[in-house]
Amino acid sequence: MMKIKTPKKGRIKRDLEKRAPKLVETAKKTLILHGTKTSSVLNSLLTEIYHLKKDNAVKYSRRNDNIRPFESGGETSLEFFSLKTDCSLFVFGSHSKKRPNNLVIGRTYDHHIYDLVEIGVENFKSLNSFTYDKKLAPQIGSKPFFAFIGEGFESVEELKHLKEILLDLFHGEVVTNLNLAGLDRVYVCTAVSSTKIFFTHCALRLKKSGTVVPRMELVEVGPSMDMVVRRHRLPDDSLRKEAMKIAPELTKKKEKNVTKDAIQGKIGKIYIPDQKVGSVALPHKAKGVKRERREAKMKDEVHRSADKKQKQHSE
Amino acid sequence: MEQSQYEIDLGNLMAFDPHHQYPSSLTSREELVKEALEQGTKLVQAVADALFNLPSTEDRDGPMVKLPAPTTRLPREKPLPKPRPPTKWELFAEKKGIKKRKQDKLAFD
Repeated sequence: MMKIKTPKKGRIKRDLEKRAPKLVETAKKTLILHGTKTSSVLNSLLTEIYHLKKDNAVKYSRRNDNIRPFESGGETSLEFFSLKTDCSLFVFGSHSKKRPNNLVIGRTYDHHIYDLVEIGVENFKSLNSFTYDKKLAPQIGSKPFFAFIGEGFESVEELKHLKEILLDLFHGEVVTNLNLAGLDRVYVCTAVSSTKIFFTHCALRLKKSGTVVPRMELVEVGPSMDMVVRRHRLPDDSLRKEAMKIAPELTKKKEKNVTKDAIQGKIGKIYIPDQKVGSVALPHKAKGVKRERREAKMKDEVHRSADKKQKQHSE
Repeated sequence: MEQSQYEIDLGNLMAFDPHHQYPSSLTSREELVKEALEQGTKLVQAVADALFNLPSTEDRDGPMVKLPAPTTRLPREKPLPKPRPPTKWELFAEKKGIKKRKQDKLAFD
């Protein structure tokens, strides 16, 4: 039997460690690919999504005939690609008479399909068709704002799912420190009906206003399109529970013995151990040990022996 | 149009308006786009209000703020890491009671 070698040193080990599961995860990578037939609309859409996510996206240029995300057998290639490129988000475009301009956005958990949503793209306007002042163009990799408008995003299952996926696709890294000067893009999604949303990408212009907060101005720059939700697949409950788990080390520990009172503020109880009143040695010396007593006793003995000697002499 | 409270997720820089309803007089697409941009501006303004009011520190490139954690939970991409099993030395040290001791840099003669 051949021994399975796992790389132990050097560059390969470092690369493996980058792909290993981590406690707090970094940004998800996206895989962009297309199926048997694509239209020009889809082609430009896929390249533009790639541009928007330049740093952490991989775009495959060949067509993949055997990928059918919604069928049980057709996902194996996708899972293999996700394993090979370490991408947990994928965008798959295909065009057919029954589903024109079809885009399937999906996520993987542990390199197996987690959930999918299939949308049809209508009224697509590409990056190049918008004219604007070039200075406003948003930088690649800046953290975007999101604006979701419409009650559909809360009430309709498909739109709720789409909202979560769009957030996951475009939100970039989770950062704690943010530079306020670097905010320059916003994704606006409006629910037009219970199946259709209008999606657009705008650059932000910050204008001076009287207060600390600048006035925002939106200028449409990016691709804009109507998305019609066609099909979607939600994750299994058990899989979803597992994927949403937070490591126990990260949950805040409850401070013991601290209570907050409205009147007194923070209070804690001080617990004193039992005082053993009977068994502790007293600080006072025992009567016999005291120096005055000892001296007095010695003097007494000397006196008495002197007396005895006198008596003997007299007798 | 009612003045509604937008759901704001600062960690993701997201604002969600669940109450907005489009007036049915919108027929042309341009009007829809304009209306969407107007609403979008309002939402982004609301997020920016909350964002710029956070305590900020001055950095080289501009003011930096400490973002709170995002409120919308998104699923992980890989399962939680398992703690790696202790090595043979670590097991032996535990059994023997050997503790790690830090060496002082200064060695006296």
